[in-house]
Amino acid sequence: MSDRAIEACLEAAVRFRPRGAGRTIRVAATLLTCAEAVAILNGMRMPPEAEAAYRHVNVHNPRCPLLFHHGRQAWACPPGLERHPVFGINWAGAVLMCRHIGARLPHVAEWEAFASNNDPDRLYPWGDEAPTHERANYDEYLGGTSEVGRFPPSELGLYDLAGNLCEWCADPYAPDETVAHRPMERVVKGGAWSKDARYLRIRSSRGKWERLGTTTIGFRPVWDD
Amino acid sequence: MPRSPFLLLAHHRSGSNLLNDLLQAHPGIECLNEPLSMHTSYFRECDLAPWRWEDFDPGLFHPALAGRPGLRDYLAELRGFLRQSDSRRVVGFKETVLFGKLEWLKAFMPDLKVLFLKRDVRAVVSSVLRSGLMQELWQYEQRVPLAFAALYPHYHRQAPPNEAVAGAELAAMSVVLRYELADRTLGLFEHCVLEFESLMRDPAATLEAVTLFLGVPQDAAPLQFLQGRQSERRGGLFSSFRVRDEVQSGWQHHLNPRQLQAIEQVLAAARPAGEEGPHR
Repeated sequence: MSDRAIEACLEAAVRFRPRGAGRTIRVAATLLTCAEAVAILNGMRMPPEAEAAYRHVNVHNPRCPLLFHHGRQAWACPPGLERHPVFGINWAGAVLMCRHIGARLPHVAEWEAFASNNDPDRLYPWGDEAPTHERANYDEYLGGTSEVGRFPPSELGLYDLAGNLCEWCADPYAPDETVAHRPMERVVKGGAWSKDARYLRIRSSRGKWERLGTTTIGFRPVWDD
Repeated sequence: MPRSPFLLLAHHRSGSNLLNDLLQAHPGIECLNEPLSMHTSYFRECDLAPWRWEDFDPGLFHPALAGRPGLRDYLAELRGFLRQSDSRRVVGFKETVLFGKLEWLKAFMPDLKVLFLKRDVRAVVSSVLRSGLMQELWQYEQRVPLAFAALYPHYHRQAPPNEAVAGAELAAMSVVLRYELADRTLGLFEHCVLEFESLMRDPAATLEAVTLFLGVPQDAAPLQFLQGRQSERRGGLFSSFRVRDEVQSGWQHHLNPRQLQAIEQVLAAARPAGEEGPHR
């Protein structure tokens, strides 16, 4: 973690104890940004995606904000996107990148706890008032991702818990408690720039195929204290 | 009871993003967005290359994939994911690059259903031209004329007066060619042909037909989603926030008479002699 971007990410992380948990965790204040992702990938010495089907980073989508610069033998992102949340990384890639910085993906219960500040009845990270485009990036108001920190933080100081990008969680997805987990799917939380308001609710969960790195899913590392 | 997975097959810029969003709004449908053209480099590069039924190989999937173990693994995973259709939901995917590979696809995944979305050729051409993606991303000039000539050897490309007319002719060739490929092979599958104009004109009836075909119960969410999305224009190139009148008749303002004439010439080449055909 020699890179300054990663150190800043850890320094800005918010210490939080989920209700009923025995110990605290530190939650990244923002979704992982493109600059941070570049620093991590280069720190990992992640090789370029050489196969026609990527392993972790979806370099095949023309909108992917990460590219491998063969001349410099390093990952990079286009100028202007450094403070945007990174997308196009599949679940396994997110797990690996978190691991490299000593972090992990949050479990669903943890995510809901820090998004609600331990209030199980709260509808949205800001309270129960309906979403507006002053509160979050959703429903195509902006037509793409926005810089992290553009919208007001939660009372814990966490940004973009609703909107901008959905967030990979550690857990496999089950539509409800009566059926088995779907082994190829992982839970995503929080809604995204192109998704409608119902996905901004703290309790809203979707299952997404873990193999794909899409344009609407990012992630937020958490560290065990 | 397990349900069959489905493919939503459509030409670029023919309304499939909107239909995909509508399907996703249904609680019993999961539709992946272009897992081949946006998650691999390979299928865009070999778009329109014909893969036949007899090319299917249970081990390699296709001889062209012999040196691509990662891509074969990915295809096997994709097939496994699609077969997670069950009594609670049906799983499918939207694609634009499989028109030349439908025979092979039937062999690769015999239980697949196909929902084929068609749209007025003029509207598709207009949207393709305005997208700016025709050459750099989709590479029509490298792929379309050769495949079109294989189906319509008597057609000779015009000597267009300018780039705009040449683009309209090339985009029209792409649409006509892909629709013809689909018409020739869809009989292999349980399939349903859906016209985008019908979806705009009578969304309730059209969505009812779609849910019936996919074997899921009707749900109010897709219709509500559509009404919300048609309230205003919002978002970027791939946004489904579009006002209905603009979606239906925007092409009339964007295409000039010379472009319309070029499109008509392509359509005429594809029609049986003496037949007056619709623009789809």
